[in-house]
Amino acid sequence: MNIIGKRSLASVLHLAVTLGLAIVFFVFLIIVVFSVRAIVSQGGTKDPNLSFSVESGPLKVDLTPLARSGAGDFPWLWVVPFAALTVTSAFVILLMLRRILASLKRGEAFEAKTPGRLRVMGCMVILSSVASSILWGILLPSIERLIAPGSGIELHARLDTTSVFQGLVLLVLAEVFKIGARLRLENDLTV
Amino acid sequence: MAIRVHLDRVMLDRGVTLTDLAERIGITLANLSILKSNKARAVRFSTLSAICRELECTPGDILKYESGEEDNEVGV
Repeated sequence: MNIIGKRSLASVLHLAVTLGLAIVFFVFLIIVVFSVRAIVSQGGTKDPNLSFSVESGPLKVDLTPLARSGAGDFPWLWVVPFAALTVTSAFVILLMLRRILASLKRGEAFEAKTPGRLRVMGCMVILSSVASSILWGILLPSIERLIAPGSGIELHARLDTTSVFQGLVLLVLAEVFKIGARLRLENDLTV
Repeated sequence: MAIRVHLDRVMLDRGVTLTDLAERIGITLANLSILKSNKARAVRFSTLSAICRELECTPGDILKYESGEEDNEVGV
């Protein structure tokens, strides 16, 4: 199987990413429904009836209802921006990846728009990682209140340096593809 | 670019059309059109040689350096 072009690995990945986008969009709709419901019922402090949990790579949405006492104090509305941030960044990253794979499907490895798309992906990975860490740090005290004392469970807020590194790699790749696009243009205009 | 291509003049003198010349030298009409309209960034020696062969001319008849125009692109 070829890597790029028609009926290639890029085509298969393009289809997979398209399905992933559809799933992310579906999750986004679930979050919207959940957040509207949370807002409508007692200002968002009531335990949600909706139970949904998805975890895959950068996409982490956990809306599992808590049965413990004091759960009513949990600032559920803080979970909404956390989930929205994760879903939005996953959506943007997958959308850019889908467009890159579409150009690879056409056999165009060094399209002029590819560097820009890689740059967006890199920035989204870094920003979502940093923002998630900040939001997690804000939510941590509330979550810790829900953990039974002596349970041995410890939570820590940390910056996901792996994601930041991945984002930086994407930014470097963007520059490489920028050079490639320029070389391609030179080649196209060489008679 | 400071190098100007005067292919159209030579073609007119020889009575050769663009389509005809493209077919004879073995490049696409689109590429030859790019060259003729001064949009090309570079010309291969093989292409230049084929054009000169078909039009019975020298590279100097087709390519002219016109000073005064900025030429910031350097390449080997």
